[in-house]
Amino acid sequence: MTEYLLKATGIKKSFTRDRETLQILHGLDFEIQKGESVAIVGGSGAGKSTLLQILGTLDGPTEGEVFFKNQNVTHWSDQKLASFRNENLGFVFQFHHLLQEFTALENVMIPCLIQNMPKDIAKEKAAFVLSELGLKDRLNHFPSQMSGGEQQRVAIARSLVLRPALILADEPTGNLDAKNTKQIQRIFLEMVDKFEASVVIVTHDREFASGFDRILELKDGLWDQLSFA
Amino acid sequence: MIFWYAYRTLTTSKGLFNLSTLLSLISLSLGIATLITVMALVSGYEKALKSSVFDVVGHILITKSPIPIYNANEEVLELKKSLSHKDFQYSPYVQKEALIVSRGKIQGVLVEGLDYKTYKKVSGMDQRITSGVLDLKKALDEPGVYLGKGLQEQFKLKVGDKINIVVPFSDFTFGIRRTVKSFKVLGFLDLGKYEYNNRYVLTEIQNARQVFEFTESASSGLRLKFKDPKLALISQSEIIDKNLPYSSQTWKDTNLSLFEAIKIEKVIIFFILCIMVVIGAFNLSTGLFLSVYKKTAEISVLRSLGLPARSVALIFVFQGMIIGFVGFVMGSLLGYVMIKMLNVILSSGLFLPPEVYKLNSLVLEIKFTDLIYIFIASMFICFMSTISPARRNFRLKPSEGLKYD
Repeated sequence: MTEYLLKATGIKKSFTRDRETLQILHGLDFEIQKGESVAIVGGSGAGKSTLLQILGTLDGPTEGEVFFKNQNVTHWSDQKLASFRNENLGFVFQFHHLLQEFTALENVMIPCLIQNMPKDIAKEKAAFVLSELGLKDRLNHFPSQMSGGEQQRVAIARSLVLRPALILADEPTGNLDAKNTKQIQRIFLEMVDKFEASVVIVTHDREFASGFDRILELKDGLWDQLSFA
Repeated sequence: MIFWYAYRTLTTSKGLFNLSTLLSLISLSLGIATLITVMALVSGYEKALKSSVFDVVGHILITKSPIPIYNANEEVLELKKSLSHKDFQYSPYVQKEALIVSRGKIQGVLVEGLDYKTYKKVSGMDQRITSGVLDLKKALDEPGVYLGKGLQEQFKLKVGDKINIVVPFSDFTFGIRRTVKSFKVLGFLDLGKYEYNNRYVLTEIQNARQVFEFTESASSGLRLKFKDPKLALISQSEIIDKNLPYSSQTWKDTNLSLFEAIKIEKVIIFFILCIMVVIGAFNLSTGLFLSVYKKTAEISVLRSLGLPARSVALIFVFQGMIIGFVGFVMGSLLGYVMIKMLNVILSSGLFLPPEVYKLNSLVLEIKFTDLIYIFIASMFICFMSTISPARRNFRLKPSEGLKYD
């Protein structure tokens, strides 16, 4: 049996607003092996992003548990989870979410600095990943001085700089035009392969999803049985 | 990392120079500047008061009241034997109430005779002369007197005029009698305090002995000066504790209620004006709150990258403290400018009617200890103002700022 990297069992998530409870996820199971890439597709409001946030320990499930390499991380303290995310996970968001007051190089250095890595080593690592992504000449540019595609490449570099075991990407091309979408998708798949990371991606682009090892479809908070076929 | 992020996000065009930060900086600076200025005013008042008291009264007056001191040297030896602080200068003096009569006017005054050979060791009277030099040897030879400048105005006197000093006596043999002696006015003194200027007449000790019928070497008491005025207070306690046969009056006793009042007022003013800093800190808190809301997405990203909630909360505490520190520096500079300007205005004398404030001149002075207290208070207030925004941050879930719908 292959050893799983990340596993989620019986994940339920509900939100209560104005005394009304909205059930988003209805008891999902999920598993990803080391080196595997999984695309989660589904319509708007299907619960894709919520599931990704739970898998990435950015939010807790209402019910169910999340395991990483045989360790149950569901009830870890904030401090422990923060260090877990820093060491093992890389995130790419739809709206790149770069820190506007920092240069491309500094943005990519931040995960290294969070784990108290010396500044010069962090700089070296960040510059290397940015160069790999074709941003050698943009190191000292601020996000506002870069195009949407370049900003998303910086965000990808930030997620890869510490060589995490798992990359979680939420619609990484959802905010880009058609030309940039193709380019970013290509770069993303290349880099993930190069850095030997497992990937869970949420996307509505089935063509992009077809490049991954497995595709799962989420419908109203449940896996669409067809997707397992 | 935390400090680096806090500092960088503050010092970019969107950070320190945004309107809400600028407003909180201005209000903090104004509060701190006001606090510094008012504390300097109180310190300046206290210093001016002390300075005039030291010049005129000295550090401590030792008497054997009601008996005069007949042999100053002997008494000093006795004092040095009994007191733990033996390093002091001394000078004998004669001091009594009398009347001065000039141009048909009469005024009750305090006549003091100082020894021209030794008075400089214990008194700053030389600095109090309004023009020319204080020459007590000349006062002995003429005989002459120096008058407080209030008396000069009341009697419309000028240097060279003559005045009479009248001393009433009552004894068993002759009943009530009086002696009158004529003196030449040699100069005028600005003694700093209104009541001194209107009552004080200075002459040489020999003249005073003659007028008040003291024997050759007798004096009303001894004026002592220590290296530190506080030693006078300790010596006074020793005189009382050891039951020494002396009465004493320190610089503090002469204006005890005033000095005590200043001390209490200073504490009260400090706390009241701290409210101004608190108001400034409210702006700071509001700015930080706004920042928490504006930066929810950024905070979520930092959390996703592995920054714990506690560290994110610390960023806001650091930012508040940085703004507080900059506000303190700006406030101190502003306070310094305000103090300089006020000193120029106050030196004109227009705003300090002597009959109200008892002092003829006042120089605002910043005390280092006051500055330390103000720094500690303002940093503490700023720290408190960051707690609420930081707590709000602490409660944010990492996913909070990553919702797109």
